[in-house]
Amino acid sequence: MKLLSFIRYDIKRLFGHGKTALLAVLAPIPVVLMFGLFLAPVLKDGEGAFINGALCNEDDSLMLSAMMDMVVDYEVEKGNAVITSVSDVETGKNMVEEGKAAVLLHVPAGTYQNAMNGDKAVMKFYYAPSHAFDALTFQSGIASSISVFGQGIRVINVAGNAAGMSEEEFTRLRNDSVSELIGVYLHRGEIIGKNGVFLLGGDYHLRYALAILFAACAFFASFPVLYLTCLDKTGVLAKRSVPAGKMTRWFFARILSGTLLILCTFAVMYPMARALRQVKMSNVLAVLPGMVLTALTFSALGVFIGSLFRNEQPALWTGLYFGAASFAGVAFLSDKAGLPKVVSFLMRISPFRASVSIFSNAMFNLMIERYAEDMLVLLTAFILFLTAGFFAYRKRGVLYE
Amino acid sequence: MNNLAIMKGRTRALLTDFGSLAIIILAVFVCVYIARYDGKEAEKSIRIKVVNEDAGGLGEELIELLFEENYEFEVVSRDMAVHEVAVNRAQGMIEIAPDFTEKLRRGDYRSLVKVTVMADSYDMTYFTEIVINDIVKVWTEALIEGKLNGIEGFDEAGLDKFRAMADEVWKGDSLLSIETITVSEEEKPEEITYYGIRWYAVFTMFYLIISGTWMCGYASSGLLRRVIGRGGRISTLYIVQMLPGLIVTVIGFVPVLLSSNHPAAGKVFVAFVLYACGTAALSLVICSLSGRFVNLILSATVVTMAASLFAGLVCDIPDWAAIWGKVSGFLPGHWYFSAVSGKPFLIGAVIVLAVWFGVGLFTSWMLGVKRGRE
Repeated sequence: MKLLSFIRYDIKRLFGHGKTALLAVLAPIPVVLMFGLFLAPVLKDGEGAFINGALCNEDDSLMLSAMMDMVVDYEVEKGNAVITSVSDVETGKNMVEEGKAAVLLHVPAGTYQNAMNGDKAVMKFYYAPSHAFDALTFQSGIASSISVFGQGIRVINVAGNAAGMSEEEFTRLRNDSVSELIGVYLHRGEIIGKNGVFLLGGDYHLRYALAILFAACAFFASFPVLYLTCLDKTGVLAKRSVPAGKMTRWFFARILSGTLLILCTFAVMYPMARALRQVKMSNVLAVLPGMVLTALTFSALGVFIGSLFRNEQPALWTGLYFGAASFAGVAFLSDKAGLPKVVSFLMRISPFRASVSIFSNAMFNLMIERYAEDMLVLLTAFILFLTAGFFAYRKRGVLYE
Repeated sequence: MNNLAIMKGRTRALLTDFGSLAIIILAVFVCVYIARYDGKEAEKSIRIKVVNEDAGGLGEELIELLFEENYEFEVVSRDMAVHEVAVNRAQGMIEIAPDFTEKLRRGDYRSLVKVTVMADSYDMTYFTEIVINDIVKVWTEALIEGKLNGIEGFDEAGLDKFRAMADEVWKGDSLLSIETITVSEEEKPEEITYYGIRWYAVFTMFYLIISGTWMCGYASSGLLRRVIGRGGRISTLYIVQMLPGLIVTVIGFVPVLLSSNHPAAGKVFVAFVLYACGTAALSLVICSLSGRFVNLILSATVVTMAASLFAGLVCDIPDWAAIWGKVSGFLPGHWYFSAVSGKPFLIGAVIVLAVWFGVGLFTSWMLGVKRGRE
């Protein structure tokens, strides 16, 4: 039998466990539903924009109105927001209640003048509980930046006191400075060489969660590989008395058919990820090698674990615990400082972590040094699992000659 | 078959089989931790490397501000920063431009720093905003200082006074703030958290499903073959086999419940017992249908995730998806969540338990018939 025939036969066996293969490939769907649960209003109501809001600006100061117009125009033009101006608060609140807008920002009359006079001014941000996720993310971004803007005005005010300047001098200083401060505020993104006003990078947690889902589902898809490898002991290998010489071809056929099964999981996941969070096509090229290497590594890991055990149950327990530990490590520890050195080192060389890192970073913004390092970790893990798995598998095969 | 002997054997096996018992032990530790820290802001220790290439002194001022933020900043060389991010020892880096001070002095705000963020953490959402806000603070101070220096007679002492006052302002309240209100209630609804006891229920479901692995083995020495061969009932054996696991999960629930400080602990406890029994009945259905051990492992993950999600145990279901809240009424988790939320649960939980038990009896009978023919 040639390698290709082995692969064809093994794919038939792997996918032949219809229920198992189907479960492995469809496992991501409930997880993706979880994402949909939170993001559906954003995708549905916002027509692709992050926030769909109403604005009720009752402040008649020219400066604030111009500022609002500039912020709104920019965000609308960039497709980050869909904003509808309303004449009164009740209309805006009704829109939010009826689901026509996710949020309402109410700027009461005299907001700007109060701030200029050194008094506190409070704007109101209404949202529907159904939009808690997107609305509060947006609110946190806007609130922190507005807060710093307000502090900036206060600093300008204290400058007048510190300098002991006349009323006329102070008014001139204040007007000039506030004008420049507004200029910076309206171009906050340019400070770090980007565009936009609010929430630059506010979707990092979504990217991260998506990446964890990718890697976790790929890992679970390796279970049938692990299981089948274990079954070989009492199954087809024993029955067919595969000679040692053919074990190599048999082994690589298993690795490749396992890789194909895992790639099928990605085939289900990737379009969903694209639908949930637009991924630039230019980044797809970087993700694809990561997907293939992840699939190869998890397949090799599955074969390795499967080869180690005489019975499939302990093998699957081991796979489950390895996956759970890797998952927990990445989800709860990978970003923490002050970990024991051993844990830090394990996190660094974890193929699961490397895979998550490739997806979270390469899909959205590629830092080539990190990408290369993660690919190297995966490649090393793949070679290690492949080598160790090969010897374990071959040793077992020889026994049946 | 001697059910009592089987139960004793199962209890012995359960207490000595660390492999499966570890799931529930870990669940207790994790959930007690979650319950104790529920609602409290976790201390963040995200590592960020700062590269200060600024030729002037304002880069240092920015670094001082950054150091007050809730991240672990460290000033290093550019090569070191890139290396640390590349090898996952840091989640991001900030490069302060060589002309940072020069640009600030002339009021230019474009490309003052370069921020590189790896999406390696849930806590990075507002990181870029924080960096920008700190830069705006330095920029504002530099702007005002420039204007004050242009005032005749304004000396260094005045500048120091201004800096001290500005420092106080940055630490204090803002003149502009935003109040957050929900339209329906005019105030933030009281969030039902109790994630410790909710997530323990999730782990319990996984554990109970996984506990049925004996039903997937049909080897000649397997329990399933023996019970069918002797004309026994799978469902009876299942109950006998499941009982020790159920008791262990209920015992494990006690410290989690006590840590959660739930005001109606007694009701929640009753609800959990009903939930565990209902889940055990549901898992009888899954075990009967799985056939293979690998299918059971995969099903356990998928079913636990989906059922717990739609029952509202993993996280709160948004109002727009309220349909899931109603549809999930057939799941034991739905009624357990009702109890945690302080809503009525008893009748619903008992009915769901009875229904799943009935379905379980039927599917296990079907399994017995199918296996008996083989």
